[in-house]
Amino acid sequence: MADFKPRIVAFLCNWCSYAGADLAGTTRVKHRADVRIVRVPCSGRVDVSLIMKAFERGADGVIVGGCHPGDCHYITGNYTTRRRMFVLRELLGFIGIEPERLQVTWCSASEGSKWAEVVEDTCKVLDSLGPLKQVKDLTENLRSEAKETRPSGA
Amino acid sequence: MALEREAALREKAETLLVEGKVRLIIGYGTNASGEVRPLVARTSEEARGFVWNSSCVHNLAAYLTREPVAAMLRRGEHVGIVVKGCDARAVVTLIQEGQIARDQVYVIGMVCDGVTASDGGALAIRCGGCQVRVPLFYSDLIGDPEGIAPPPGNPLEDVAELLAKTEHERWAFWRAQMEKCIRCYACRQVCPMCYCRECVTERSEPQWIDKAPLPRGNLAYHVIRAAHLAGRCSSCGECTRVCPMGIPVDMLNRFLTSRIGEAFGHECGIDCEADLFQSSFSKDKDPEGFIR
Repeated sequence: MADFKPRIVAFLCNWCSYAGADLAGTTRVKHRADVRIVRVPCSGRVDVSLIMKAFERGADGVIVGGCHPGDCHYITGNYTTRRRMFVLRELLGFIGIEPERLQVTWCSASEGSKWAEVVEDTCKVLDSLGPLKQVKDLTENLRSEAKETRPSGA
Repeated sequence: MALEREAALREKAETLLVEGKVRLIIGYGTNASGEVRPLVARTSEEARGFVWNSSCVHNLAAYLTREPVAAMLRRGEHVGIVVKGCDARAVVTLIQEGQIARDQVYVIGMVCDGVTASDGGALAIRCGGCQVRVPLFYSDLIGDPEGIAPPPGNPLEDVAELLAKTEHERWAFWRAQMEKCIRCYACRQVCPMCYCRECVTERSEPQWIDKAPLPRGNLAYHVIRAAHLAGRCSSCGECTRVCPMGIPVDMLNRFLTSRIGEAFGHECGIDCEADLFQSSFSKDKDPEGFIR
């Protein structure tokens, strides 16, 4: 596990969190480089299917970032995000995937240092949780089955 | 008791059809082997075939958004439907979501003693402690609502059992279920809340859910389906009943329903005018502890 580097996909809203992450860059606040950012118009755009796809395709953790309550560019997008993320975290926990792998943050355009902290903390959480074995396990098994069924000598 | 209600139901159905209040009534009948099956009656003669007993498990609300009934409703015609308390919740949610018009659907609510899990078997788990033995919504009620108490049992018995286990054990359980799933979509087809013309599972650009019936896509399918049903599921248990592979699909839904009830005080299918769970919010009452 010593050389495990978590893969994180972050869905950040165009108006606050993305600008916050950008600020972290322009002001040269240091944070770990294990995060890949996807810019979305609003955190309300982040459907459950986006997050499941990220987990499926190798993310060990996902961060969803939106504007602080009351600051949403579209007035109420982040309030619906809040409900949806609550539901998904509950669901993940119930099926046996650590809900901590899905982090949600309200990060404004002026909070570059907060963004760096969120990334650092998420990395630490994932360092201790390790890779998302559960979902990988689903596909690994597939590969071994495929090998078994392949005709010998082919 | 059930026989009295059956007779009253037939009488009511015949009257509605003879008076021309509805074009057809969706209810329960029996097939040639005597098993309970959905029955659509268009004449008073056909309405005499209606039955009411503990095998009336089907949630008939699903027919309201399916053709040809959906087409009749679009034409402005009126239809009747026989519902249990749980099914009535589904009808209310469909009205809330703008899928059907309240005044076009004549809802015959049945006072329900609970339905069996399998033919002639014990009461279904979800019926234990049922709070809606008397439907909360109906045009006409069949049966005496006086002195009706919830049946014994805990509707979350299996969910609580799983929650008491470790994360690792829970994953082992669901992993095994995901391996069984053959993606026949019976759970989706039977669900009164799954009425989308184009389901996300059918999209191919982008393809959010792998189409092959393999564990990875199966997990995405079941998680996404459960999330789409959050706050909308009436806990009728039809998805589990129709699953040919014996996957307890509705455990995900019943778990979410109970958590949403605890955390948001939300219960689905009570008030046709109420806000929907997923498209509404409370600025300061919704849980936020998990957000930083």
